[in-house]
Amino acid sequence: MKTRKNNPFKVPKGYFDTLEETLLEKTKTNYNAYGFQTPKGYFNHLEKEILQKTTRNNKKKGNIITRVIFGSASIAAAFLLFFTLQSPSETLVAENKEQAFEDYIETYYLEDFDSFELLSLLEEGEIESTLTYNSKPRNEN
Amino acid sequence: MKQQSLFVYALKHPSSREEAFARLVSEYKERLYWHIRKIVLDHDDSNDVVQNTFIKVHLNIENFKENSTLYTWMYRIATNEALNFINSKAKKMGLQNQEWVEAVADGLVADSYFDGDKAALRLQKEVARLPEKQRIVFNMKYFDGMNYDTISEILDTSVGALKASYHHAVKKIKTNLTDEDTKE
Repeated sequence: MKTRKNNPFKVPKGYFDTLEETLLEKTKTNYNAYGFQTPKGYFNHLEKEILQKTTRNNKKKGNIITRVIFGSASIAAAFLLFFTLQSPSETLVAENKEQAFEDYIETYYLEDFDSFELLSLLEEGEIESTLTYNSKPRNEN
Repeated sequence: MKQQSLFVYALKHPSSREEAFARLVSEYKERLYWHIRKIVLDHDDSNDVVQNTFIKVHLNIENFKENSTLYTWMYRIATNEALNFINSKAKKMGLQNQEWVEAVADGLVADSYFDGDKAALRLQKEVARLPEKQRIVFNMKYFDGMNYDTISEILDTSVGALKASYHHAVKKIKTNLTDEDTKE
């Protein structure tokens, strides 16, 4: 199935049939494949696998006996946890974890992805045109 | 943004989290996959990276402060995960990141999930030869058709620098392809 005029890239046979109708509308941008393909039905499988590894993991519960046993044990544990979680060190760990993710998002690989580095990729003759680009209004794409 | 806030609230609230996350995966799985695929090139590698990206999103949604759009936030995670993946693969092989990417691009000819013609293959090889960050800008602009403002928001880089980087990448690719044609 050709997705764009003069575009030699394809998606797998029947690939789009596997998608929900509404999703199809939103994913017409898959002309972006440019020669890259995926196994048949991959995205449906992918969705299931991701949900299996994330949300559905949280739903796993033991049988009734296990829950009763762990339920009574958990009452005692809850008191212990309550006092443990109130300690400043635990709060600090949570804050550090949050900060570590913030750093990851904001500064990890993208930290040095700034104008100066991109400019450093340019040859001398092109710096001038770069400065011209910078002086243009932002909406001139 | 108001609609996003409601959705983010649903993602953070225990009672609606699972359903909202399923919607999020359904909505973004392909966009993030293709973004990642163009960085790491191989399907199996992309599959690992896109799953890790969503797991990271799921684990850290509480930390999403709405300073940016959810879309931008997830693209950043995906970009970081993809670059991190290349970094760790290259390190294991004792290669530079770019050497790793070029080797993968050279292997596309035998990749069962790549069916581009000779021209498409040559283009991919030339893109792989670009410096890492210039390659990401090129992918987002040329293959994804994103506008500079969106790329600027995702990569937190000025529009001017992005334009310069993209034009430089295009020029480099054109020159290399022309040189190869001349040799042939």
